[in-house]
Amino acid sequence: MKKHRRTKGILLLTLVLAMLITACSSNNSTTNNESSTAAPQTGNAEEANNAGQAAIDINAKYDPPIEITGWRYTESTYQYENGDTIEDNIYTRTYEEDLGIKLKYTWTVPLEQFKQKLNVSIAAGDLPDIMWVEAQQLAELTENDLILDLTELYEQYASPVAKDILEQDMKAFNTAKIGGKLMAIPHTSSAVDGLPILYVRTDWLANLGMNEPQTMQDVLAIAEAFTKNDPDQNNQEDTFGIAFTKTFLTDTHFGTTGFMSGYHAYPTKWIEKDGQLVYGSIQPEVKQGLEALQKLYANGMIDREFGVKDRAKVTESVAGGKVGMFYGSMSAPLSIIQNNIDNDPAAEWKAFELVSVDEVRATPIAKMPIQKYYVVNKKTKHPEAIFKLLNMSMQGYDLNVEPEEGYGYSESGIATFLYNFIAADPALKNLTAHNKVTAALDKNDPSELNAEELGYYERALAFRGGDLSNWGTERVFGTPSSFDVIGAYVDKDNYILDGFYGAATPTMVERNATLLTMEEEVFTKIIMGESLDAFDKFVEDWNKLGGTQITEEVNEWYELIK
Amino acid sequence: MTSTSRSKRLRELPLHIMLLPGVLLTIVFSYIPIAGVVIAFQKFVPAKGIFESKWIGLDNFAYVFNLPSFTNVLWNTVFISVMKIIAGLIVPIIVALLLNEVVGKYFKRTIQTIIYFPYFLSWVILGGILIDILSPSSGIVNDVIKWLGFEPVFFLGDEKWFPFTLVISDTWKEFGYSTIVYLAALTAIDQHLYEAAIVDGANRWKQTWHVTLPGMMPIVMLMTVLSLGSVLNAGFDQVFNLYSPMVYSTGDIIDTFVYRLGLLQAQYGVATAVGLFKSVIAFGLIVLSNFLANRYAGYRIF
Amino acid sequence: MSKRLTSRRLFLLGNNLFLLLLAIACLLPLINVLAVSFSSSSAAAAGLVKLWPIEFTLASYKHALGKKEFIDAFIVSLQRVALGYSINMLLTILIAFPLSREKSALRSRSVYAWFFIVTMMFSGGLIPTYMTVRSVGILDTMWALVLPGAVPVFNVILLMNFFRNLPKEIEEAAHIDGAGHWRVLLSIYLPLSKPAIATITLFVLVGHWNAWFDGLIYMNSPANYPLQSYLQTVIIEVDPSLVSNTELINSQLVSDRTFKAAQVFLAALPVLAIYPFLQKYFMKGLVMGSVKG
Repeated sequence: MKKHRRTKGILLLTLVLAMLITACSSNNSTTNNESSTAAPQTGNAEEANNAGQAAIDINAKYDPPIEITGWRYTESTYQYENGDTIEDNIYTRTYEEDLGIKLKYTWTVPLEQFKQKLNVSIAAGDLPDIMWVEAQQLAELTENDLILDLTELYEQYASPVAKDILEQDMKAFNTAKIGGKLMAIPHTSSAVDGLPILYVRTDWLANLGMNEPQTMQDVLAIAEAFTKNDPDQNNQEDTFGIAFTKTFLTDTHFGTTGFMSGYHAYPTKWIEKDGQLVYGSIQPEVKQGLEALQKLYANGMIDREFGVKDRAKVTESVAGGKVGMFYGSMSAPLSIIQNNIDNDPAAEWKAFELVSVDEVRATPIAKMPIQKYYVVNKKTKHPEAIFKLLNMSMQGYDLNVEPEEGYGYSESGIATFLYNFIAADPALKNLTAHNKVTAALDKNDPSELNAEELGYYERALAFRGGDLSNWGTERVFGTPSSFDVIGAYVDKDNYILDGFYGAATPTMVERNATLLTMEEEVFTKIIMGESLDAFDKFVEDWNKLGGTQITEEVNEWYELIK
Repeated sequence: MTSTSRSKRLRELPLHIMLLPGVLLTIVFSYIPIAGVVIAFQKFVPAKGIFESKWIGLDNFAYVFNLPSFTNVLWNTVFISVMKIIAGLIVPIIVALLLNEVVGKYFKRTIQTIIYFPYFLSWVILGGILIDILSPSSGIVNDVIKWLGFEPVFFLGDEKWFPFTLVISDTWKEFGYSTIVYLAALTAIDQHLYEAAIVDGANRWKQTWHVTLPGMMPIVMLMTVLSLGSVLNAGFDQVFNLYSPMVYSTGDIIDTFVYRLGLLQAQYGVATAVGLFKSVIAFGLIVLSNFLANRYAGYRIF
Repeated sequence: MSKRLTSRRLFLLGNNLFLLLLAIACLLPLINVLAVSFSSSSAAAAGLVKLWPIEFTLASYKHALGKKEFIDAFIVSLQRVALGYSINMLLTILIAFPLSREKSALRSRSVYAWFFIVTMMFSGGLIPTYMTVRSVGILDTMWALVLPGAVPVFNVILLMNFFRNLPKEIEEAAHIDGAGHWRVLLSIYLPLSKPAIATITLFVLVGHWNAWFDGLIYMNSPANYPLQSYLQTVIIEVDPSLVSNTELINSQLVSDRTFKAAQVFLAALPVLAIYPFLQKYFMKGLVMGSVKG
């Protein structure tokens, strides 16, 4: 009797399972059907698949229109007007009207959720025609033969302007190649935009009668004066010299990357030494940098509580006028310092190039600037569609084409360029924008500017007319500004990029989390007063716990791409 | 014999019908996904899916258990969560008892409502607030400590204090919510028992000891046993928003640890293996405690 | 006698004082959020706002209530709570009642009990659950938010134990009168279980209102997010390493703490408001004792 009941239970379970599996597979077949019924309308499905020999006019409009599915992320800070949505906006309408492409998103989730949604969708086998992915999925999808080799299609269909933009930085472009095949269109952007900059409150310098920093010694002296000499002149010892977060090793704002460069140290990055890549964090220069930070901390020039504060908390210190110096990226005037200006109209900050502790100049370092890739599903009926989208989006950079309104910023200043499905930025886009904007400001003539640049120009003008809420734009795209500093780095050819930018190596996947945790812990404790000997022990441990092997794997990769 | 068993079955039938929808939904949405724990034994790659990922036996488990910091992390997890379980049981019971003594109806209700406010603020929000109020230099808590003549305490940055900071702040956030269960249990106690106790000359204290507490005991046992299921969950959201490299050595728990492992690459196999490990331990503890409670104290929990 | 009275009075005074302090400690963070939400954004960004608004303004509330995404998400949440509550409550009662029977009345009782309890501890994890929801065909629908958690086992156990503690005599009397299981449940057990049902109601409402993870995973577009999922995307700081530099410039222009605080408060408001009404029922549990006599 009992046994009987159990078999029934199992039977029921298998039944439900079977139902599910059929439901699952029928689901798949319907999606396949949909796309295959769509294909004959464009003429010959065979032909569409054999892109190599097909006579497709890449500039023509699909007639009748085709449907392309895709996925993307958005951000909660995207703005819309006039009933626009991410599914229906100036870009999607243009795709349909000019290209005959009805873009249908299978999902559009916020950035925070992107990785998760990406992985579950891939695991569930729900692949649309065109996908946004990260380096890791690019490698996995390629390995499992799920995405299309774009090498020939790219040669054949990408417009000259698109090729020009994408290939401005071949190193970045090549990250989309696997085994010599182009497996994705990379969303290229500017590497130099990630270089660290030193920001100092110049009204405090003036209050104290100090000069702008030229050397690391100056920075240390300023830090001391900002802490002890009452730079805000409120007769209270309530300020400190230089701001860092609890995740100072990797943070772009309030990180130590720029400071360490002053000691020629590059923690958490890979740098070339004698033709080999070595891990920056275990080099002896780091010890000197840590020693300097330790002294700063011991003398109260770093916030005693920096070890528990994240970026939002440290931003409070800046906004509240408690700190007058930090290392940040080019966007800091907009995202961080503007808060200080809002509170205290008398505050003034300036961006400086990194300074060095000795005669050798300080060289800033940044990471490879590719965050996402566009890949094409192997089963798509329209492999060339991505190039129509790409070419259209790159038209804005074509000097021979009259720029059209609305694709950068709307009339009311809403950033519409973010709606673009397939975008790529020139290697020096923001720097160029800065140069053009400052030139236009000098000449009082904005006619050369594109839509996006015009937005910056108008805000900078507003600032010059006395509107302090646009201080940040002036200090990023106007002058003096953070891009003045980036421009100087580029002119002097004084910057390097993280030497390793491949997919994580096997030992990295296995060990890096542990190693990074150890590194964060040890470095934090040293800054807070633990003996510098801990650094030597760290180097030893790092090598022992997998670091040696990681270094080998990284150099195997380096040999391949050299 | 057969006829009684049939009529018995017939009498049971409505009960089975009541259970049917719940059973079906549970099979579909709980049991079928549970089959997915096979991922724990795979080198799971999303692009390959469950059916094609490589089988690697117990490698995921071996990997996690052999990580140099694993024993430390496991210990932190158990230490923090056991303390949270204890505080999370005692504090709401005491508060429920104290509330029960309050005479003014509106005062009682107001307090009862207010203490459950913190439950609705997420740790992201509370994290920012806690950094302020616990700050050794400017926080209100340390102002009080200094006023009492002690040295200020760096609650969030001191390795020794951090686990206790976690326990106290977690209890503070959650106790109002669980107090509700005990208050409901209190109202369910038979009033006649109190009347009888008063007739016997028992004062308030004795009434509490001999009537109220025994009356609450079943629910207390139930909550205790159920909370054992979370002995390896020390609270990811909370720790993640409050910890920092300074307190890794005492504050890092299994979930934050696995989270950092997964940052580099989606390690679903490892995460599932850890989840399975936690489930097995939790299940074992619950079965054991249910058995012990029944055997030695006579409480049937399930 | 009088001595006892004074000591009782002293105790009550001390007790009230203690509870008052406790309540204040619980009230502080909410007051802080409120104060921030009513302050000017520059003051909030500088961390100047503690317990009282600085440069009082309603701007962030106007902004929040004028934001389409916020209102949409609010409506999705209301729908979810309505549907989810009905399903959860129905199933909780339907499962708790048979499980509260003696083994003599339902021989497979413990099999059923463990069948449900196991699901409290074991879960398949993210990917298998997602694939199941997808296979059933309810991805991107309201059902994905209410069906996977349709059986709240914890609440079932609470109610089951409550049922068990109800006096057996009434039920026996009903059975003698010829009432079946359904009649016993509907006309005897349910009316007697108001405190338990009120407690579970609160748990279920709050649970559905506060759930955010499932919304993020199962919904394909932010337009379908319930309120708390939407809030997650607003509150959590974007990891800058994921964003391209162009987007970074844009995204940080708009982030605003007062706006976040206003949304957090508005989102918590409905459940905060419901609680006092449900509380009444906890107090009414006295009914139980009177029936037994």
